[in-house]
This record gives sequence, structure tokens and C-alpha cells, in this order.
Amino acid sequence: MSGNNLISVTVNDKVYQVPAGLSIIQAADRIGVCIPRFCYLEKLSPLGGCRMCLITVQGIPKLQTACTTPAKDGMVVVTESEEIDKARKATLELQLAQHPLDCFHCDKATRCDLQDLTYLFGDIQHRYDFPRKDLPTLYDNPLIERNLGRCVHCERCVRVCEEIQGADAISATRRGRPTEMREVPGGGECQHCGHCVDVCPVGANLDRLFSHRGRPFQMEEGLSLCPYCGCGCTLSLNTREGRIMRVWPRGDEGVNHGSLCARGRFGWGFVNHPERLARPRIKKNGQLVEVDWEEALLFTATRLEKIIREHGPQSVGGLGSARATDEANYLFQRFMRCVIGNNNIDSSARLGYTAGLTGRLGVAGDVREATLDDVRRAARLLVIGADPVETNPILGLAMKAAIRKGATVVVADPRTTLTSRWASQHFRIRPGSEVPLILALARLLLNERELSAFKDADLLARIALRSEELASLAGMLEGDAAEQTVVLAGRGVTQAPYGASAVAALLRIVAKRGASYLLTVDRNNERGSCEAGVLPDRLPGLAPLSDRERFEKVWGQKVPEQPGLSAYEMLQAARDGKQKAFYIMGENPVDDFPDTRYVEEALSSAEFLVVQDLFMTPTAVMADVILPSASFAEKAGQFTNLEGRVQPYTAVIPPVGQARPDARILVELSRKMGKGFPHKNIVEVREEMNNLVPMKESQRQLACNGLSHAVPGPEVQWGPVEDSDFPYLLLTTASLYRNGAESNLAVGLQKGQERAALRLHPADAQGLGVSDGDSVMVTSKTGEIQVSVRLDDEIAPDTLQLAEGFSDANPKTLFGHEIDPVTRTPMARYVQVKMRKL
Amino acid sequence: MKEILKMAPAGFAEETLKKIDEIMARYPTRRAAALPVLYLAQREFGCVDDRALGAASRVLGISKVEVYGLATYYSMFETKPFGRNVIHLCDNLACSLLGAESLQHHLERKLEIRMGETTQDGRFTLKNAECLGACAQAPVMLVNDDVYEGLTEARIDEILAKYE
Repeated sequence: MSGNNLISVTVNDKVYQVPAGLSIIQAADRIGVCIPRFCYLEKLSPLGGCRMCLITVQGIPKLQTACTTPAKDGMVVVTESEEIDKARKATLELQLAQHPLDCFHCDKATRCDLQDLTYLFGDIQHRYDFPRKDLPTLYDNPLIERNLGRCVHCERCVRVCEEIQGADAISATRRGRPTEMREVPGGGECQHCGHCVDVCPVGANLDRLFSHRGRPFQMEEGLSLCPYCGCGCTLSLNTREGRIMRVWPRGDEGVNHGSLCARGRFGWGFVNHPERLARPRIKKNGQLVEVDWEEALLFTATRLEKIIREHGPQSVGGLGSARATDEANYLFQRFMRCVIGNNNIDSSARLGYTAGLTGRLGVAGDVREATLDDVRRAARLLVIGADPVETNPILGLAMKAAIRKGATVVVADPRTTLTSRWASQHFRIRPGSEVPLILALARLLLNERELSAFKDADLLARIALRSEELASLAGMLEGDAAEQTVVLAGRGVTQAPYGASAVAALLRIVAKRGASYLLTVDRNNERGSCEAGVLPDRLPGLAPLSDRERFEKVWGQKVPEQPGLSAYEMLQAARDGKQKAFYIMGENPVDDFPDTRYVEEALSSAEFLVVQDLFMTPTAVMADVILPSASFAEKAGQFTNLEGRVQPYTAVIPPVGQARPDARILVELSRKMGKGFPHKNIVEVREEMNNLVPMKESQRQLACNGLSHAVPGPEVQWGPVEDSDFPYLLLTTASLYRNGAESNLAVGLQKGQERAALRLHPADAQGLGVSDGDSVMVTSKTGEIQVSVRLDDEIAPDTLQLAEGFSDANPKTLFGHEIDPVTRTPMARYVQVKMRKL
Repeated sequence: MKEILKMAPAGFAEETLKKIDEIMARYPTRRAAALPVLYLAQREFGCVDDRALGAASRVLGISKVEVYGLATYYSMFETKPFGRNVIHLCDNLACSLLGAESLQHHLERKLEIRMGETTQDGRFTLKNAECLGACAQAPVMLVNDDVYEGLTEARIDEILAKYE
């Protein structure tokens, strides 16, 4: 049992073997000896401040703090004695002497370490009559209240904010009794991750959305998955009488290891929003009226059948959902293929993940894909055209954890983002030059003939990079640490012309060097929807259409041979009058797809529009049938996260009104249309899918086959062409507080950031005569939006940065509908605009 | 595209940076030099305000909130501008027994300010001090870095006249 890295420690007269390198409290936790504590927390650096974990070490005359004393071989430790008991009680007595003792109306009551320890020690004396600290409760933060009087000065919130979140927003100010843990002027900006609420042992840091919504023992807790970005974090929903009251992580569970971001923790407000659709509606005489399910489904089936009869199955297009479960998406593609009879199937994954996936399919053989844990352990991170801290905040935390352990992070991105602010080096490449950058790297590192048409000097000029800078970027992929090198790429690459070719080139470099890669994923189930077969040219498991016989056998239904249309091809077909109907399951193209007017016109030129959604979105408003669907909390299923990890979860609360899970709606509609699916529940759908697409260690075994696709030539235009009428270049970014339409209806995220903000350089602001908070009108060739400005001297002059997702100023309105010739991905990274003060 | 304009954040003067380098050389880590750097920052910026915190945080490689925590922990740092001369009058046991309280009233009357305040002309800031470790010569006060013992009202008047 005694390996080299084990030491032997005597604790309370018993000898234990524990790993070397632990503190006494860590060793005690591992052998199940309980030492009380306020300030110690495994994931934070030890402080030794609270004096609750005092213990005796033989040979040292005074009591020691177990959290800061390293366990050593042969050490004899006593954790319970009269002396220790007296010291701990004295500490508690001093804590209680200045605590307001307002447990009656404290949200933390019954889950409070101060209560529990006082209860445990029992007879605490009360010899001091300090005046009760008359400290205020701070409400400066819209989401977190800081009740300074209840604070036990453990500094967990200060440390978690610095060491895990890296926001540096909370300071331990002053000393002695007046000490306050609070946000201070000039400190870091709170990112509303809520870590400080989780780690607080008492009721000092509290969730303001929850405030007095129930006692802890009145809450039921159910595990779920976050519906926002692609990280797939485990959430614990605290519910009462079928409504969500608050959300927190559970212990160390999930890929998030007990961390959440603002969206995960405070973004649940849409679930019980009063505007949720509770009953189906159909359009009668131009008016949407509420009907029962039977009528709505019959109406839908009849109208779809009529259109198929009159115009053929090709006249119907379908959008599955990058937000719906794997099972719902699987059934959706089966519905489109077998019941409607075409492959016109796509989703909003077309805006990002699909191009990355196409790139992956372009590389035969294994390319190591990184997990979030790989990122946490990485020695080097190369980030190209991505902003993980804002698109995928928990991936951002993994990156910060790596930085804390000494990792080098190099970012190549035209924007100033929360990620670039963390980088050891930020190459501000020219907007739209992510693909040329990867091609230049490939020319340097791969020696491939197909890129021989390019000239290095042209590429470098296009990127705005010197050759030694390119060499230093390439250096990130060389040397011994290649195995611990992770390349992160995002929409800067996938939303560019020939983005898929660039991803393929990047992955070939990664494979050759033995590094690993990870693509950032903006929406929770972009990856799952693609793997479930919501693609016009791929079946579940990314099987090519030529493989359809295998599926037909299981489904007992025919699969059309002809590849279908992608999203923008369908929209164009509708505008051309060829596509007569759309079935949209949980997507909101009017808000989410570039070129709002183009999308609206396309959808309104269709004869028949079915929308399955939670809310009356701008897309649903145009529908002939609206089928109310259940939110993530109200249904079971699985999501596939950005690592490809397939994670099942269950329903926690019943659906609002008559809303139904997407999968159930599709099964019932298939029956109404005479080609009924046999599934009785979600598990049967999952089993059918897993039989067709085998799983290994919670990853799907996918058909990656070295698909060849077009290679760009030097004539391709990456990046904007100068246009003096539109002198500014607007770049889209992501926000910690928005991700899709639902996030605008979540009160917590509204409080985090109420409105969109256009970031611009002070010099540009001066030229325009605007200052912080002023409104401007931003106009492009396609549209205009009104938005307030925020000055930021780290933004490049002549460029503007606007986050996607805010419904009050949607940059998608400004974009055209140009699509990539290879993957048909719409371009929505940058747009030329002009601006005037309002 | 225009060259990116860099707005330089407030920093230390060249001379101070040299001193900081000398200080840093004495410590195993940069952050260990926090207190001497804060003294320099207070001297250069007049107090430990936002600019001083930013400058100190950059040279020390620790966050502003941590520097703020330190600056408010120690009584010798001020986060708001203070007088050209700071009087620290001890109010602990030995000094109090020998009349520190009446000396405080004398100072407050003479300077027309209360404890913790700064005179309108910015000449003096008056503060309480915890024990200055010279109880045998109580009552005691500190003006800037100078210790004065065996205080009386007359002696205080003489002392203050020395400071502009």
C-alpha cells in the first residue's frame, strides 16, 4: 500500500496512508475525519483566516490551522480535544457576538454553516456585549445582495472571484470588525457568475432573484442541463410548486465542475414567463386563434398533405433546432424525410457548427478533439476567431484555469474580447482574415500542394501580420508541448468564405503535430442537431445519404435519395415561389438569421408556416399554426455539448399550460399524416437512435470519411472591400448576458445588462460627438438599428463591436444574405456601416 | 485603417520605477513588495486613489481589488486625498491617562477640524493612532514620520508651526 507518493499520518490515534502534498484538512477530508471550517474550500487557495479548523500537531506547542499546515510523513495529529474544542468555541463566540442573528428572515437559514456549527458545538457562551454590527446590506449589484452584517470574513467570495472567475470584482476591505467583502470602485466588473453566492457559508452573498421565495426545505431540486451555450453545464433547478425559484450548480457535478456563468444561473426566467405559449393557435380569417391540440394537429396535417399533393414533397422545407433535444431533432429529420418526403432539413447550426463539422469531415482519420478538462490542463492555447470567455463562459473558465497554471494563450482575432484581454499575446488580425491566417499556417506547417497557388506575402498583407509574427503563431504548434496544445476556433473561422476548408486545414495541422482542437459552439445543441441528422445531406450519425438503406430498414419508411436544400437555399426557393411551406421547430430565423428583411420576405411568401416554439417570436407571429412546446426544464432528452459528450437529462417541472415536448408533437403529427411513428416515449426514440448511431463512452461513433471539398484560390475576397459611403466596420461579438431570444425574456439577464451597447474607440466617438450612453443610428446597405454607445479604448479605431442576441439592437438586421459557396453558411461576422448621432 | 491609438494608463514616474526595481530585487516575488510600492504610490499620487491602485496593481502583477484590500487594511494609507502633513495622535491607554483627550480637543479647536478631517488649506490631516509604542513618554503623536513625546498644548503649538 505504501507507494512513493503515499505518506503515513496518525489522526486521532489511527494511522492512515494519504497521498503526499496535501494539507491536513485535505487529508482529513479524504479519510473521512471531519474538521469544521468557514474559510477553507477545496477549490480555493487556503487562507487560514477563520480559525475554525484549529488542530494539534504533536511537537508544535500551539494549535495549528489544518488548512494551511501541510500533512507530512509520520505526523501525529489530533482533531478533537478539550483545548481544540475551547478554541473553536471561542471563535464561534466571537463570530456570534457580532452576527446580527437575523436567521428568522435569512434565505440561508437551515443551509448555513454558522447555524450548523453553532448547533454542533451547542453550549456557546455569550460573554461579549459588542454592539451588533450595524452594517448595511448592499444592493449595488442588480443580482447579488451583500449583507455585510452576516459576513464571517472567510474571504471565500474574494478568492473565488479572483481564482476561479478571474473577475477580481470583490475586495476584502479594511481590517478587524469593520472588514467588508464588497465590490469597490475601480475594481473588476462583476460578471454575475454567482460563484460568490455558492461559496458563501452564511447568508452574506445572496441571489436577489430568489430573495424570500421559500425556505430551503420547501425547494425540490432536480438536475437539468443549461439551455444556452454549447458547454452543456449541469444545473440544479430549485423548484417550488412546479415553478423554478433559483438555479445553482450541484457540488462538483457536470462538465462545469460546480461553476456556472450568468446565463446558466440567472437566465432561467423565460421558463415561467407570463408570455409563454400555453395553447396551440391556428390562423382563421387572418387571425391567430387558440384551439385544442386535436384541431391544431389535424389542421397542420391536412394543409401539409394538400401542399405535398399539389406541389410535390420538394415544396416543403424544415428547420430543426440547435436548441431542441437530440431525440426531437432525430424525429424531426425522420419526419421530414419519411413523412414529408424530402431532405430539405437544416437548423441554425448552419450559422456556425455545420461549417466546422464539414471541415472535420474533410479530414480522414483521427484528429484528437479536446475536452474541457484537456483545456484546463493545457500548456498552450491557440485561439483563432473565437471568444470562448463570452460564447462559452465555462470553456473560458477552463482557459483561465490553464493560464493560472502557467499556460500560454495566444489569440488571433480582429476584435477586442474578454478572451483577448486574457491572452499573453493578441494578434489583432484584419477583419475576415481568419481563413487566410489558417492557410498561411498550413503553407508553413503542412507543405501541401493544393495551397501552392497562394503567395505568402499576399496572405500576410491580407492578414496584416509580419512573417515573424506568423512564425511565432506557428511556434505554438511546435515543440515538445504539442500534446498539451489545444487549438480553439470559432465563428470567425466557420462564418467566413471557405471556412470549412480552413477548419480542415487547421485539423490537418493539429493531427500532424499531435495537438488537439475544440470548436466553440454558441447554441446548446448545435452539435446534437447535426449528429441527429438535421442536415440536408447527412443522416443520423452524419451517415451519407447513400447509406440510407440501413435507416430505411429500421424506420420501415423510404428515405429520399436527392440531397435537400440548406437554410438559405430554402429561403431563396420560397422567394422564388418554389417552396410553399415551412415547418420550423424551435427556431427563430427572423431574429437569428442574417438579413432580417430577406428572411421575413421569404417566410411570408410561403403559403403555409408551422412554428413550434415557447413564445410568440417574430417568426411565430407570421405562422399559420403555432404549436406550443415545452422548455428544457419541462421535458426529458439529451443534449450533445461542444466536446461531443451526449448528456441525458430528465424533466424537472410539468410543462406550462398545454405545451408539449417537441418529440411528442412530431410523433402525434406523424400519426395524423398516416405515417405514424411507433414510439411510446422518449426512451424508445433514444434507443432507436442509439442503435443506428452507436455510442462509445458518451460520444457518438461518427462517419468521418475525408470528404473532399473545394479549395479556395487566391482570388477569393476575404474581409471587406473599402467603401467610403460606409466608413465603419461593425464586428459582431457575443455577450455574457444574451444567447438567443429566450435570454431577452429572462429577468436575471435583463438585470445583468439591460440593453445592447455598441463599443467604439473614444477617438471615433469624439469625431461623432457622442459620449458614453448616447444613442446612434447605425446604417448598413441592408438595414439600420438604433443603439447606445460605450467607449472602449481597447477597440481598434474605425471598427465598432456589437454583441449578438440583444433584441433591442439586433446586428443581424444589418447583414446581407451572402452565403459561403461550400457550406452555404451565411456571412455575419462584419459589415460596413455608417453612423450618426441621434 | 488608422494606427491603433494607445491611451497610456496612469503610471509611475521613471524615477519611482527605478526605486521600485530596487525594492523588487529584495523580495522573492513581485507581490511581496506590495507595501513599499504602496508607500511610493501614496507619495507620488498624493493618496492611494484609483490611479495609484492601477499603477501599483500593474507593477505588482496583482488585481486592483487586492491592492485596494491592502491599502484599506493598513491605517497609514489613505484612499482619499489628505493634507500635506498628517498628525497621528495616540489615543490608547497610557496617552489617554495623561490627557490625550484634551489634547485632541485642543488640536480640533486649533485646526478647526474634527478627527479624520483635513484643514481647508490642505495643510493638516488629523487622525487617531493606535499605540505608537512610546508609552513611557506619553502622550505621543506622530507628524508625518516624526515622533513627538511628552506633549502639552503649548508644545503642540510649537510643533505645528514647523510644518507648512
